[in-house]
Amino acid sequence: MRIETRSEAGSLVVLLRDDHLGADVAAEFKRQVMGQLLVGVRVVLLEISQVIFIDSTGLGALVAIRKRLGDGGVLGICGSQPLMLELFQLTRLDKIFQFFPDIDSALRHIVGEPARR
Amino acid sequence: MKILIVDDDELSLRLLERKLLGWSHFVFTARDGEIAWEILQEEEVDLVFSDWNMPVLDGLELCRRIRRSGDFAKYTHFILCTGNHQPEERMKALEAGADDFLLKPVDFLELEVRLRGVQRHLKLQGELARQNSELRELNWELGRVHAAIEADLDAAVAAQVEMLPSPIRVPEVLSVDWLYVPAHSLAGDMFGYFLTDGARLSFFHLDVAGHGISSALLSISVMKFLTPSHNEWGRGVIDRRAAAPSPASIVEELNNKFLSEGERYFTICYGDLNLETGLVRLCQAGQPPPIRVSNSGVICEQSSGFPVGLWHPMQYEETRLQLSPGEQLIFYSDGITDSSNAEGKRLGQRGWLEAVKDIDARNPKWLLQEIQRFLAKWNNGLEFEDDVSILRLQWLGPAAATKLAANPGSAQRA
Repeated sequence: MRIETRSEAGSLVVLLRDDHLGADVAAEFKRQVMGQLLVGVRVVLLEISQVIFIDSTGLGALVAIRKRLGDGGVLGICGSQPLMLELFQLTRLDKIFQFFPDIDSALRHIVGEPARR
Repeated sequence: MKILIVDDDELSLRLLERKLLGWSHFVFTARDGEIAWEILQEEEVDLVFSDWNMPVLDGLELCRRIRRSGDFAKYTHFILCTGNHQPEERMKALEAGADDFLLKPVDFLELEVRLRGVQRHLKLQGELARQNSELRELNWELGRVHAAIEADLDAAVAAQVEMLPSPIRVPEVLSVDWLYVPAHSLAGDMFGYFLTDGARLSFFHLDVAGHGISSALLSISVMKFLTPSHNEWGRGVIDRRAAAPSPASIVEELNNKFLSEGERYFTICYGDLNLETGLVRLCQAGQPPPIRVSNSGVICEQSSGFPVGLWHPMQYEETRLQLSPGEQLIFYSDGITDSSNAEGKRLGQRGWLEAVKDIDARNPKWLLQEIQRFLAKWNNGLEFEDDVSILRLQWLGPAAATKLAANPGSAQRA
């Protein structure tokens, strides 16, 4: 499991470099992202443009991260491939995540319009 | 230590014997290699201290014979003794399997040093042997416990399969059957169906995230919650006699009950079929959309919903489908669409829909059998990575109360 993280405009930016988020890596992924989450950070932007497969355990890890961000938090999924978008729509996880074409447009959106309280 | 001295020279043999006895060792003596070999057949000796040049069987040959014999119950140390200072001679001794080499005349201080080395070695060897035997015992215990767990798991798998409902065949009204292939013996997939308020079939198909024991337990717990109980103390959410509540309200109730802190969640499709009208009410909560097979073709229904147990509060929606007589609905787990063939190609939603279209076009007598054949071929007969389950409902036509009453046993397992 390979991720890169950085802080930008008060958000945690996570680049997932694997092509899948499945049961084999989901726990480690969650642990690493949670480990980078400083107190007070309400926005996580996750870049998944290389991901072509997410299973139920992977979805669970994403929801756990979203939960950690609390009521006003934002988990922004960036660069999702069409098939992955279908998966988020099928499971209606689009109700609790936000979607952006890439990290830059997500940051513009977040900075221009601060996370809802 | 038990030491065997081998020397054809009586004087040095006795001298050495006295010295070793003085150091409190247990000593055997032999005049040549052949006699020494005979003693070794009888006695367990720690160390052989042998002269090189002897009649009948010399020290080098004795050493070779001991090593060739694969040693005795425990390792026999061998120190060869000679007046020859040549390095080639030492090499020969080591190649024959000697552990050490001592020059004649024997320097007793040097001998004592060598003996201490052997003693240290013996001590380590003893500890190793003890640890080995402890490991062997532990290993045996592990094997025993493992076998017990395996037996328990087998029993659990049998119990889980036992919980699956029998197929329903009510001529001219209804046909329900299924396919069930758990990936790791205990499955997180589960389904069930039962007749409620006279002319309605309620059904569900669920898939718990993950595999194995904890997934299977949650799937069984949900199934118990959804299945009407046979006695008045049951806590099932469904009352068989009352008018069926809307599927969305049932899934919402599930979400309240099974909300977890972690990622213990499941996807489910809950629905009911009005046997008089053919109307299906569905609540989809993260399961793949059902496939409808009719005379006019095979289509994927549009439906979606949030999984159960992840987020609270959550509103669930109801989808309505009107079936025509003869139409079938196929519910399936993502273990099918996520599966890959030998070339690593994922079947996917579209590939799966195409496969069902192809199968249906051949107008098979038993649709599920053909699907099973297709899946086995797709997967090259290997085990699936995820649980695979399919629930097939076919509404044949309006139910007359008499038809249902005539087949009570086929509709519900006792």
